[in-house]
Amino acid sequence: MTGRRLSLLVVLACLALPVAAQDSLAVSVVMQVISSDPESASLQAAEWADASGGYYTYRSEEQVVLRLPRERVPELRLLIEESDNTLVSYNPSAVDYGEQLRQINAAVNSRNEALNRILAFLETANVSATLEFERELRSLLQEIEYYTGQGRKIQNEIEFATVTVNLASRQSTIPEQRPSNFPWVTTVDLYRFLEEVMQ
Amino acid sequence: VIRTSLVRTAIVVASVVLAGCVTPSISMDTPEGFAPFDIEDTFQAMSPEGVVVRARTVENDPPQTLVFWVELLERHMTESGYLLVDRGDFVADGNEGMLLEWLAPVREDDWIFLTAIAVIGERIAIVEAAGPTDLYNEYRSAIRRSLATITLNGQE
Repeated sequence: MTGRRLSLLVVLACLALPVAAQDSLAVSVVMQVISSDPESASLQAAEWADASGGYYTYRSEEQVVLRLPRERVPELRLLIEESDNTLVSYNPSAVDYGEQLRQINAAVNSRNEALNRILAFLETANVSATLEFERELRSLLQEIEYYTGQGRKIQNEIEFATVTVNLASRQSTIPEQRPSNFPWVTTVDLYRFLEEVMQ
Repeated sequence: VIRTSLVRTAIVVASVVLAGCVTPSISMDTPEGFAPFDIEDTFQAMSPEGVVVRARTVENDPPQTLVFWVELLERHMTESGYLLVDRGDFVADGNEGMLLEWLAPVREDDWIFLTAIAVIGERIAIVEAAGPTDLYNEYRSAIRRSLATITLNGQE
């Protein structure tokens, strides 16, 4: 009984949720980048993420999705701005997981308390009661594992910012002025606009 | 000769004064950081670095919905060779509007070209803005905020 109790306590210690809900914001950034070589830019971004303590979850010549320690995100922006690539847009957003983390913490704590009560009963329980207690213990442990997993997933979201870099090829050719069947549509053109407002 | 010259000068001055008195058919709040100047029937504004904004109107002819015109404009611009980089919506004078941001080269730089339209009564309000990407990005929010203040003058 003592050995079993000890192993249960070890499991509980391992499942302790690392929730320090002081900073509960998960940061996401979506960037639009124009590059003369999107494939190479995508590869560089992924390699830079690896070297910066992050990783990538998707990569193609049109998009790369990075998970970065959030303090490194401004560096990525700087890197793109200082390269030959053009940063067209930079849209950060954040989700506050504070409430969810508090709920998970409360759920884990209440189950831990229940576990401790059952473990205390186990000391004096007879065989049939012990079997019943063990079923209850297994159920509580499963629930704790579930909540702990959820908590770790959220912690990962908080520690690693999700950076989606959408890549497009730099155009070297000037768009042509095409006529439309609707005259006003024909008048919507960057070069015509610049000529008219700069005159 | 002197009299003819004086008459011509007077006509030019009068034309400029009259043009200045014309109230544009469209107005909007000047985006923060821009200086406004009305030319003929349009509202125009410019930032110190040269990012420019213009608002004008055309007749909604044939009468069509915002969705129709946006689809048409998007296809036209894409087929012309512009690269769509962002889109969004706004409400102007109680009417829904849509904006599209395009990328195109100007000399050695990448420029962003904003095209925003809203169907207001029997007219279509068109706002265009453009600037080198890094400069445009500085004014993007201010320009977008101003879209919500588009008003057609003389519209009941």
